[in-house]
Order: sequence, then C-alpha cells, then structure tokens
Amino acid sequence: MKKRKILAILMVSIIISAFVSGCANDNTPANNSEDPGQTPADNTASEPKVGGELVVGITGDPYSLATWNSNDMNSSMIMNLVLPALMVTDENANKVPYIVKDYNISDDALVYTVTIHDGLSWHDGVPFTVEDLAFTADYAVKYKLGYGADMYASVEKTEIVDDTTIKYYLSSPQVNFLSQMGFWVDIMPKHVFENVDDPANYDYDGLGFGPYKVKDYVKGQYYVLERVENWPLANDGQGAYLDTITFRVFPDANALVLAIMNGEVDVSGSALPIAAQKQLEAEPDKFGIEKVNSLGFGYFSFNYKNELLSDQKVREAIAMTIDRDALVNIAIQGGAIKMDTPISPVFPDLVKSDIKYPAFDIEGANKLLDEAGYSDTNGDGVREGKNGKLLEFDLIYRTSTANIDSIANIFKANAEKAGIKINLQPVDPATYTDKVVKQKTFDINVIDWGVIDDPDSSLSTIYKSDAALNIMSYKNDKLDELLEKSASEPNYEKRIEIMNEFQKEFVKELPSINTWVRINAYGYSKDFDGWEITPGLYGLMDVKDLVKVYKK
Amino acid sequence: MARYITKRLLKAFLIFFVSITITFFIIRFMPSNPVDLLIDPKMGPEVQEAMMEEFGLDKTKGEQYIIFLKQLLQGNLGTSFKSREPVSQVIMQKLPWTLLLLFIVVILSLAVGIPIGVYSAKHRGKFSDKLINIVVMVGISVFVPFLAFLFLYLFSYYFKLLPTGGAYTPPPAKGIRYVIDVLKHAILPSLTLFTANVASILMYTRNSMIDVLEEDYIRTAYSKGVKENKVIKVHALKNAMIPTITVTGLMMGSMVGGAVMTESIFSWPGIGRLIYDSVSALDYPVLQGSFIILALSVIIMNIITDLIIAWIDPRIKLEG
Repeated sequence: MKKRKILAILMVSIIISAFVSGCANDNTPANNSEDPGQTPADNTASEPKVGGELVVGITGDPYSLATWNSNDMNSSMIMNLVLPALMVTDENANKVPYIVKDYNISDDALVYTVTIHDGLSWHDGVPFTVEDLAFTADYAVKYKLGYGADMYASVEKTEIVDDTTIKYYLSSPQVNFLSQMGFWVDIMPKHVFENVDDPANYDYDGLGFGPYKVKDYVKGQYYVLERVENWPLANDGQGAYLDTITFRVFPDANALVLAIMNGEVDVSGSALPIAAQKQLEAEPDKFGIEKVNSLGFGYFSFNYKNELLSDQKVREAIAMTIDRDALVNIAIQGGAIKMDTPISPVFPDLVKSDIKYPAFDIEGANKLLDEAGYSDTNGDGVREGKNGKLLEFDLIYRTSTANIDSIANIFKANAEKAGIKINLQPVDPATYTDKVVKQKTFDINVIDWGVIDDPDSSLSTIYKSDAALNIMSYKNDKLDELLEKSASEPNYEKRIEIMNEFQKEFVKELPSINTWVRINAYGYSKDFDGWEITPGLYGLMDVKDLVKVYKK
Repeated sequence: MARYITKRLLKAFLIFFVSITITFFIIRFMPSNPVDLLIDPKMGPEVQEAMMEEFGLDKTKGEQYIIFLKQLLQGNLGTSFKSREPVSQVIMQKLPWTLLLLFIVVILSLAVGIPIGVYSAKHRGKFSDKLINIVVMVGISVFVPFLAFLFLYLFSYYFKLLPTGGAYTPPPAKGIRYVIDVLKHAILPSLTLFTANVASILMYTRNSMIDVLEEDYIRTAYSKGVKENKVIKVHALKNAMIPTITVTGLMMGSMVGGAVMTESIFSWPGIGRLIYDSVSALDYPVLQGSFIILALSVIIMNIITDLIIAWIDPRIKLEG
C-alpha cells in the first residue's frame, strides 16, 4: 500500500512538472516569433498606398444593415463607410458638407438649395443623384422611419433642379434642417426601395455609394467591406487606401484589447475603458491611442415635482456641492473633462462667453441653505425645511453607466457636508427609463447623454418646457422663448448670442447640472498610419478620416 | 414502456406550456419597453407610436399572448425587434455554436471526471484522494470570468498560442482548414466550461461510488474472490453512474443558456450571448424564443436521463 502512495505522489508530480515544462517550452518559440513583423521602428516614414486589410473590433452587435430602421450606433458605424452622410463634423463639432458639395439656405430658412458632388454611383452601377435625396425625404416620412420621419417632417415639397441640385421647401423655418437630416439619415437607393412597401421587414443587402461596399457578412460575427476603386471624394479620386475592412464583434472590451495586443485586431471601433487604454499605452511603439471628446455629456438633474427641489436655493446649494475635479479625476479616472458651462466645451463657439455654473463651494452651499431657512434643528446632520421636511433625496442612476458608483458616492459625500442627505438608488436601464422618463417618480438623476449635436439650434428637444424629455417638469418662459428663437434664427453669430442669453438664464434656473464630457479613446496598431479623429459619432471609423488610413 | 413514454410526454408538454406562459408574462411585465429605452431627443412621439404598433406592443398583454400562442402553433417564433429577422433564424444561427461547445465540454468532462472519480473512491481517504478533493473544491468554487480571463491572458496573449475570440477567423476558410480553425477557437471556451463542470461530475461519481462500494452485493462479490478491477467495472460502476447521469443531464440542459459569461468573454456567437444582448435591448421575441429553446432542452434532457437511468437500473420503475 505504501508503494501505491509513493506512486501516486510521483504521478502527480510528473503531471505537474510536465505541465510546467510544457508551458516553458511553448514559451520560448512564441516569444521569439513575436518579434519579427512587429518592429514598427523599421517602417517609420512610409507613403500612403493602396492595399492592406484592416480588422476592426467592436463591442456591440450591429442590429441590421438598414440603419434607417434602427438607431443603432454599431450598424451606423459600419454603414457610414458604405452610405456616407451628406454632412459630417469638423474639429469644432460643426457640421460641414461631405457628399454635399455646396448648399444655400434662404434668409427665411424655408428653402434649402443643396448641390451634391458628381461622379458618385451606387455600387450596382446606377448613378447616385438628387432623385435619391428627394425619394428618401418622401419615403422616410411616409413609412415613419426612425429619425428620418421627424427630420424630414417639415419638407413640404422637393424640386429637382438637375442631377446634382435639389431644393427642399419647408413648411416652417428650420435652421438645422440640413445639419440634422444630412448628419443622421442615410440616403436610400430609390431604385431599390421604390418597390418596397414594408421597409421595416425588407431584407436590405447593404447597397451603398460610399468608398466601401458590403462584400460578405454573418450577423453577430463579422462584416467584410471591400474598397471601391477610384471613389471620387477620397485621396484625389484614388479612393480609400485599405483593400478590405473587417468588423468583428468582441462583446467584452477587455477581450477586445487582448485581441488588439496579440495582433488579431488592428483597431477598436468602440471607445475603450480606461484600464484597457492603459494596457495599450504600456507598449507605445506598437500601439497608439487617439482621444476625442464625446458629443454627449454627463449631468445631474432635479425633479421639480419634489417640493424641496422646486426651490431654486436648494438646487443652487446642491450645484455648489458638485466637485467636478474629483468626479473627473477620481471617479472617472481622468477619462473625462470638466463641463462647467450649460453647453459642452466641445463646441468652442458656444462657450466662449464662459457662462458658468456655481463653483464648488461647500461653505457657500451651507451659507446659502442657512439663509434660505433650512437648518438642522435636531442635530442629526440633515437640514430641515420650514415644514420640518428633511433635505433628503434619492439619487437614481443606471448601474450600466461607466464609473457610476464612484460618481454617485462622491456626489453623496459632498452633499452630506452641506447637510443634504442622499440615498443611492442604482437600477437597471429598463427600471431607470420607467421611473425617470415615463413615471417621473425620482428626486435627482445622474446619467450621460450620448450625443447632443447642433446645440445652437437643437436644445429645445431636451430643455423646452413641453419637450417629452423635460423629465425635470420645469417651466421657464424665458428659456422657452430663447430656445424657440435659436431654432429659427438663420444667422449663426446671432444664434450664439441667443444661446449666451439662454446659458445665463440656465445657470440661474438650474434644472440640470451638466458636469462632465467623456473622452472617448480608441486604440490602434502602429502597423497602420494616417489616423485622424474629430468629435463625431464613430471615432476612428468616421468615413472622412478612415479613407486616409493606410498600411505601412 | 409505451404508456410511460406517452405519460411522460404529456407531462413534458404541460411543463413546457406553463414555463413559456410564465416567461411570456415575466418578460412583458419588466418595467419599460424596447421603444421607451430609446431615450432620444431625435425621436418624436409619432415615430415611437409607429414602432410600438410595428412591434405589436400597442395591444393588451392578453392579446399579445394569444397572438404569440397562435404563431407558436404554426411554428412561428415571431420577428426580432432588433434585427427584424425571424426569431427562428436568429436562434438557428446561434444554437449550433452552443451545441458544439456543449458537446465538447460534456464528452471531456465525462471522459476525465468519471475515471478520476472512480480512482478517488477506490483510494478513499488516501493522499491522492485528498489531493483530488482539494482540486475539486478549487474547481467548484472558481469564478468563471476570472478563469476565462486567466486562460485568455495566458494562452492568447502571453504564449500567443490560441485566438482571443470568435468561433473562427473571418472570413471563414474552406474545408478542413475551417474545421481546424473552429476547433482552435473552441479550445479556450471549452477549457473554461470544462474546468467549471468537471468538478461536479467527478465529485458525484466519487461519492456515489463510495456508497455503492459499501453495498452488500459488492462485499459478496469480493468474498467470492472477484478481482477488485472487475468488481468496480462490472458490479459497481453501473449503479454508481446514476447520480452522475442525472447531473450530466441537468448540466447539459442548463448549459444551453447558462454559458452567458463564457460566451461573452470569448466572443462565442452562441445562445448565452444572444440572451444577454436581448435582455439589454428588451428584444422580447428573441428572449421568448431563447427561453423556449431552453425549456425544451431541459425537458428533453430530463426525459433522456430518466430513460437511461431506467435502462441501467431496472429496479427503477418507469410507471412511477
């Protein structure tokens, strides 16, 4: 029996040592083979040239190629290379023409004359003309397709001047008509959809007119796009440089980073979490990171249905307890910039006026509440109102928001220093929507807006008293008037003036405390060059920038 | 036997009906709905209403349920809210990948778990048994995502031996190269699920083997002078296998939908990930369809398990 015992020990130790040495043996060749081919120091100065296959990793599964049915970012990201937008963003997040060559807006903002570039055609050979633009305007409204239905709603009629020029006649003045529909709604191929009367269930195969065409895909797994020869708007008529672009889905961002690090994936299409960025930053000779400020922002807002929160003094005091430095540097680990103006600093023209929220000042908040008659009479650390009601609020947030636990806790700790008690209420996204947006049964919420573009003319959709998204249920006639004015003022400089007035009133009213703008970071392999990024929807995948990327 | 199977099938049908009804209402009583989730300043109420109508969510829950049952009777699982594809098509794209993983994991777990379990029972209380027990405890208590990342880090990143994710490298290769590519991609997720599952098979086999080895008929066999190996293989193993088979059946049934974490980390395009994605988008038809597949697989596995056990041990009366 003793012999057996020894035998067993021996066996176990043999297995263990075999495993360990096996690993060690595997180790050597793998490490050696890692070096060649990945020595970017050799290929520093290289000229852009056609060729190369780019693999893009994205963290979400695209819904479908038909972007007009769903407003899913992953689908739109892939399709922005196939169906490029009429208008794109520049470095100041302003909308500039892309497929559109030139445009003119009448002084009353009722007639838009839009000219598109010539030489474009659908990937099946049919010319791309303003007929397609006119068709899309009509079709999107008729079938109530996603964004298109609203954005084209004011079009009374269209007039085709020639193959490249179209006039849109609007029923009411709208200064952001082109910058909204041209940015958000993809143009549909008329010759395909004129025969389709159930677009929601039509199996669209991805026919486009962009620098890339859809070659092959399996939903939920991969999408291969192929270069279109001599696409007129890229690189002086050469077309894009990369031969193919393959999108692969990696639901877990950490797994995506490992895939970039071992060379399976060349670039992240989705923004990476901070920890993942740091992993790539540790190998600066192999990987690069491009960062850009998000078009959205994070904010706290107050429900005016709560009697205490409807008191401006209480809102102002809470605004003074918000420590943006701590939120941005500690809670979000440097992955955001401070936003202390009502409009995001991503839009430099609109924040030149520098109209700011009340600064972080706990002492000031205490003083303000003392003066307003909120005092802690029973010494439990929480102030009470005139009728004895405690200054105690629930802070509701979605557990899925990045860094949200730290954000909520920093907010809570500072508010409590001013005698305001905060109860944390983390919920899943569906519950959040139900409580905040539908029932409006919350006190304070904190969340990110994904994208708020054209803030000089579009903020009425979130801040006007009668807007569906006025979850705060506040009413301010002056703000309403300014928002209305900005949406119909055709002169950009004048709109900025109006929005400055708006911001002045907003930081007094304080329905919402806008607090941070996230920095979206995208990692890429230095085997490729020519990367550029501007504030926009798709990071490094924005069509106007990606056509310049080439393999070294 | 025939009567038993008929009875069993009737019971299974009832269980199936009750379970899909419960899941139907649980899904629809979740707060909010897929259209409300699209909180978006660019989407007017008219478009949202049109979407509700398109999805059939403007009807009462009772009406929706009747429509769902009618469609189900015709073999129609509905259309995905997200991708606007038939749900059956969405599921059939994912199911084979999950079954492949399940097949590999079950075969491996049985092939490794049973012999070691028997060995451990034979050497009960000895050093090797204790060592195996420790390994089993670690296996049972390991946090699966941690294990998944450990494997990923070691084998994909550090040693660069295996791919990080997906079921194959797109675009897929042809013929035998495709099979090899898929198998390479399947190694890490299988290894993760294997580690998480083999421990229970091993433990059940060991414990039931220990029980069986104390039975009178085993002692009789020994006293008749039958060799130890033969006693175990011929007399003990068959009976000791009953709990193992039950556990394997349960494991297979639940693994169809239970590998959510593993499938997500390894980007494996299976049912687990489909359920996860559909929950976050509130894609009711796909969720419902996935739950139907889940319910079916658990029910079918139960029937098969019962039949195998009855075949192994005639004392278990099927009429029961």
